[in-house]
Amino acid sequence: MSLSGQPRLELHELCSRLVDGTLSEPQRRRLEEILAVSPEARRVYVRAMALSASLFDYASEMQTEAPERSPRPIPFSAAPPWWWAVGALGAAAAIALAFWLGGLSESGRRLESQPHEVVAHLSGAKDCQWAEATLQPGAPLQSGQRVELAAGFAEISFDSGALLVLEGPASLDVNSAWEAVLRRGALTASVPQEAIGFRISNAAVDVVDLGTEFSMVAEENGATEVFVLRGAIEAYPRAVSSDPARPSVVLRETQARRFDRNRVAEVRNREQKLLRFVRKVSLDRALQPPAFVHWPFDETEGAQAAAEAIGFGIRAVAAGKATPALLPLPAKNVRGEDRGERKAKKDPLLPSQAREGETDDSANGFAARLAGSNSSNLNAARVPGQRGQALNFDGQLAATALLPPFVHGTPRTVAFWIKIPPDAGVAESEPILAWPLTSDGDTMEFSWNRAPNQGAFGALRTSVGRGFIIGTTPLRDGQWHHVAVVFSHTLRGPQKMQARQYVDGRLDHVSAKHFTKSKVKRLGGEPRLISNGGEKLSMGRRPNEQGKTGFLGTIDELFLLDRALSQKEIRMLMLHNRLPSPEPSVSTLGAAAKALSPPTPATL
Amino acid sequence: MNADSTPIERQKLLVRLLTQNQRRIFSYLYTLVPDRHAAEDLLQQTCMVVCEKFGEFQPGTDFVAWACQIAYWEVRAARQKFARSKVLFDDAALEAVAKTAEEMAPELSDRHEALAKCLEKLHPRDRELILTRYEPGGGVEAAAQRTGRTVVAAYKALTRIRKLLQDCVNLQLQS
Repeated sequence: MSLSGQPRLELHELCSRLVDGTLSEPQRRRLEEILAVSPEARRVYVRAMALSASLFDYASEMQTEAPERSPRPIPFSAAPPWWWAVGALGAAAAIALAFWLGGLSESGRRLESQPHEVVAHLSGAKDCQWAEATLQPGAPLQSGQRVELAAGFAEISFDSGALLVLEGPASLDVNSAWEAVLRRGALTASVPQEAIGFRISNAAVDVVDLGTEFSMVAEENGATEVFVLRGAIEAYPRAVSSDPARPSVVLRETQARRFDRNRVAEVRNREQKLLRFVRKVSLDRALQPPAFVHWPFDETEGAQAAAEAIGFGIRAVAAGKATPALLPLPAKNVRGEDRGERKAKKDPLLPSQAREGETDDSANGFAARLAGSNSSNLNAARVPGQRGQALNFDGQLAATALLPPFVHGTPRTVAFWIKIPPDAGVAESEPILAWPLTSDGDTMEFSWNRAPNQGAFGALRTSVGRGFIIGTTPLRDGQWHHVAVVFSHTLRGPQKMQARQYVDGRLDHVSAKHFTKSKVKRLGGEPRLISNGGEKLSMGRRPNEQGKTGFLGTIDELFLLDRALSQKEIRMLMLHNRLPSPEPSVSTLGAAAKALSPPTPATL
Repeated sequence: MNADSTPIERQKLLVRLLTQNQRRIFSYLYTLVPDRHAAEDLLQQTCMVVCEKFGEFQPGTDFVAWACQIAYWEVRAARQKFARSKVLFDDAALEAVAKTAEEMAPELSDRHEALAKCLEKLHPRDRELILTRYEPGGGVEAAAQRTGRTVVAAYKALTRIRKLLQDCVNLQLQS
């Protein structure tokens, strides 16, 4: 019997389900039946299983540098030619994401796990009494940190975008940007699309979020009740009686289950318990709107592209045209002080060219100056963008602008839209953006990675001097991608920074990173300007690099902000080109009104 | 006295044969028991029996075939332990599949080699997904998360990628 067409497709589907553990009992019987009568089917089956066995083998060889497991050494001669391109990817989930900008080690060695990596922060609090160290809103939380809340409410924002509101008394271990352990107490989790896969576990159950809002209550004895308020979750009970063939329970909106060490059961008094999660709680937050410079690339006249700046003491408009204020940010900070006015008071941090009110050429302030090899480059530079117009770099075009007065060692965010042709060559991978860091020629650069032996080819690469971090999402596909790189403090010491890369609003996994002892440190221990008036932001090539082929691609809506944005703010910037309004002080613990309807049987 | 017959030489031969062929034995076991952890447990068990019975092995004969015979009986013996969800087939089906796998051993080795080239040709995003799915400690969820897909989309993509790889391997072997 020869297999072709539908029977062959059916067999492939059954084999795939078998391998992925989703084969139902009727499908198992069907597979057995097919294999019993058809030698050809048996050959197809054996090839399918052998393929998976080979993939286990190759994937195991490719997995390098996982800090919690010693990888098997790969003899170089035995490694397939592409191992270097993927090897680092295998380690991505396990390697900590921190990227130290200074002070750790010489000459770019591979990062190992970073227990001090900051993975979340306390974004809101109400009547908090802490069992151990007191935390203030805005406090960073590092990997492995235990949060012991004796009373009150604490809102924790994870870098993945997941948001937990913890109700004391409670104990939570912050494991990573993607995982937490609820040891005891109650929490409500809100997980956006970009953080699907976020996991909360404890001794009774692992809950994997499928894009939802849910609550968990962990009792002292380990028993845990899970209520789905919106969306769906997948729960993996740890009960000894769990059916190994059906290891998970999918709970959908309004459903709830109780998990303990022995069994999975319905929740008693479900509706009464749900009332706990519809209370409104007023949270204290400590976030002020960031200062920023924004290049929309919509107003380009001649060789200049307009910018707008808020909070840096200047609203710069090129060529006399008013740039629409795309960000309806409040002009006043939390102290009621106009940030622009504050900075305009001869703030020594301001670059000399950027004083408010100057009318000479430098009054254009942050406007980008375009430079191409001939006038046709400049004419071709304006193309339809993600929003309005964008700036297209053809390899010849470059642009410079005044760098906002960032202080070294302070948090900041760089965000922009980028479109890179799929056939962009290695020679055309010059930095999308760059600026000088030291007089020795060290630069900060954002580019796509052209060195496959260092990390995922074509992924976002942020370089600081000789150190770098490389993501995993390919940018070189002819599509628009929103990119944000967030620099924030770590808990290792003053001026120790880490970088996070977000692509399309999602925290990008890291395929590789190197760190170096930064030369920036030599400049002295005092906070100082990265930009002191002379430095320029370069677009399309490295600073002061003429003659070489530059970056090939299009950029739009470039923002430089003086604060580490959260995933929620980055998403807002991506979707609406503006930042969220200041958070309402009232938070609902859960949109649980619908959950009060009669229970629907869960998929057990 | 044959050099291979001294105890030290026999031990060296055993280590070499096991090291060289462990993957093939695992592949055979996984075909009979398509559960990674169960197959790994069985591999460990099989290796212990191979060590114990190595005195019966005739150098120069097919070591993989000999070890797979041992593996087969380990699977049969483990039926009680693993229950149907892991040892998928009844005895008759198990025997038929095992026989097919033994007959296809040379082809499967070629397919394993060809797969390296096919993985190289995959789109990086697909390659990342499939390798994350199969890496130690990985799985469909981890692969979905790492590549920014939903779990459902990841299942579909994995089915598609496996099909692509099979077609590519077939093509490689034909040429």
